[in-house]
Amino acid sequence: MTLTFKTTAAQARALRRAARARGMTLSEYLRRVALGKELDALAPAPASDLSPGRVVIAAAPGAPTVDKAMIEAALAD
Amino acid sequence: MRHLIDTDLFFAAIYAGHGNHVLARRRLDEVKAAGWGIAAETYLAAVRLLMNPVIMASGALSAERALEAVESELAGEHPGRVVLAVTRPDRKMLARAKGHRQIMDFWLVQIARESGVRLLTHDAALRKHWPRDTA
Repeated sequence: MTLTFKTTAAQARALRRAARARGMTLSEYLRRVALGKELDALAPAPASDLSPGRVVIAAAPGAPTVDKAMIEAALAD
Repeated sequence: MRHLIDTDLFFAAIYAGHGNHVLARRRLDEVKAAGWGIAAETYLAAVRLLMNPVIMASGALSAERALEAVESELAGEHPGRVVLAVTRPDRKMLARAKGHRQIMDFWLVQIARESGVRLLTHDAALRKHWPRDTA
């Protein structure tokens, strides 16, 4: 079902930016905010650590859990 | 150098979104002091994966940032080597591959063997196939 509502141009930009930052579509982001669900998904992504010899790149919100099969498929691209 | 790190384990160690990240991070940390390295193919694969939006979603890195991440992992108290193969692919070894996905794994085993080290891998099938060349 499609719901439509009005925003200002600045509000629209802010909503799209917020959804992108969490790796979500705009619709998914708005549903979660409006329905108060899975608030932890709205938390900012943890920071990456590039310490010499011990790098940990943080996963972005909504990023898939990677396994070897995904790696092989990605490298075959 | 005692271990060559395979691509999946190396990437899992540096990327928190990998399902084996915690285990891979611990294993890599454990072996570094004895000497370690990655093949040039693994280096490039890690850079590519860090830049890939299918893998990283909105967290995909720029080339500069991905290179910085890989170089930073290779640095530190126990720096890792980047190993270049010195011989051409061994036809007899690679002919044992059952499918296309094993070709690169077997190539890394060859590089480890010619470097006089073992390939560190999570892949149980690979360890079973090459028990003297893997860990």
